[in-house]
Amino acid sequence: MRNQYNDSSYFDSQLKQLDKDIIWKESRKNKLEKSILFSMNSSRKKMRLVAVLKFASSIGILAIVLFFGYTFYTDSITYHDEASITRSEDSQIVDNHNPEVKVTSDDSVETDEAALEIHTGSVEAVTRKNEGMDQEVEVINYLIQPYKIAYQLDKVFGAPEVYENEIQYSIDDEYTITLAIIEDTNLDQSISNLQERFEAEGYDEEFELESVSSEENGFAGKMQYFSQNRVDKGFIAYEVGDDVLEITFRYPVEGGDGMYSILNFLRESIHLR
Amino acid sequence: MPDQTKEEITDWYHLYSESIFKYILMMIHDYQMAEDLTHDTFIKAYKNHHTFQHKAQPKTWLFSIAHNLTIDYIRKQKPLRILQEIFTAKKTSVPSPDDIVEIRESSIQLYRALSKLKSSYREVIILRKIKEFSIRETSEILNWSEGKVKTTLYRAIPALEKELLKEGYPHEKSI
Repeated sequence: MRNQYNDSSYFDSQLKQLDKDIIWKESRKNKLEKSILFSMNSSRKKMRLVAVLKFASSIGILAIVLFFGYTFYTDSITYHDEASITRSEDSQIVDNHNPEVKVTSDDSVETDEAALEIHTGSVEAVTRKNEGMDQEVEVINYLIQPYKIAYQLDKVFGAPEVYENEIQYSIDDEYTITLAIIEDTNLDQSISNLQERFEAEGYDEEFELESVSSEENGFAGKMQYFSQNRVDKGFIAYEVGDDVLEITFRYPVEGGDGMYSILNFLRESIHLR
Repeated sequence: MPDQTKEEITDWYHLYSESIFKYILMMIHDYQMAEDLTHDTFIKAYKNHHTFQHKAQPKTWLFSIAHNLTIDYIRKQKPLRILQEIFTAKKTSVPSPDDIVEIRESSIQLYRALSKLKSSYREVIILRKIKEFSIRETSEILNWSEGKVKTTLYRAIPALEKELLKEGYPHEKSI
């Protein structure tokens, strides 16, 4: 039998009456209409002016780019060659049998002695469900050292960037996934900090904090979704020994379906190596 | 932008401005600001008219713009309000400048009680019970899931009842 949703209450008629009992003066309404018409006209003029300025400035920028491009053409080729050499020297092969690329936060921050390292391993093709359909995707194996936390993430997210204790993945800065290790803390403290941070950024709780089943990957965890202006953001936090692994993510609401399956897969793939 | 857009916005103003103004007023309880945000709602609709897909009702679309502007305003006001509450005694009267708006005596208690609810409760009551949007339309305006609209409304009604009891509102019980 189908449940009929009924949300009627004792106050329904009084609430409707409240709407009728608020009387907005007609003179104010007319005044506001005039003000809106005026604003629409000025906004139209402004838009035309902005279009002209944009056109002029893009021509100017193009001329500058062409000038500098021509002037520094030779220099840029030389610089590019030098950069390639430096990068290849910096790259380290960790294991000759199973080549992994190691990126450390030392690339950008030199002060952290026990720097977090991300080891990029092999690529695997996996089949998983997305919106009820089987979908084959390529995922990359990663290992966070020295914490020995391994996980898999879709190749589409490209190479990660490491900043201090954070590993950041991004697609056009619209879809982002960040993994962070917070040392010597507990789950509650970590969650409280994340909630505070999201609220300070202006996000509203979309769902209440919920527990993540430890059957997924063996870790006790909690997750929560927030949203703001059609952008969803959230976190999943796991207690890993004395530390907490925080996974934060952000995506436009339209991309939700794809991200759910990516994040579910990431969660299930987490394990200690 | 063609004159057609301007005409359409003007038509929408005649149809929905009053409803939008009252919605914002019930949300923020500031007459002048309610007019300013109503103004901003229609200007934003004008500027973003090209993004309006005629699949949705213009009223729903305008309300979603009004909702976003109102929530942004409430968020910005929060720290200021906390400071005000610390340094000044909280006003319990409802000022009603006669030149802008009038609220009939019979509904003032309800208006006050609504103002004491948290904004998500207040909003869902206004949209569902006062503006009579469907669950689906409310979920589109608030950008919530339909489940969240139902759950929030389910919690909001007893919260309103509690506030009305504090106000001494005469009623028997909610159904």
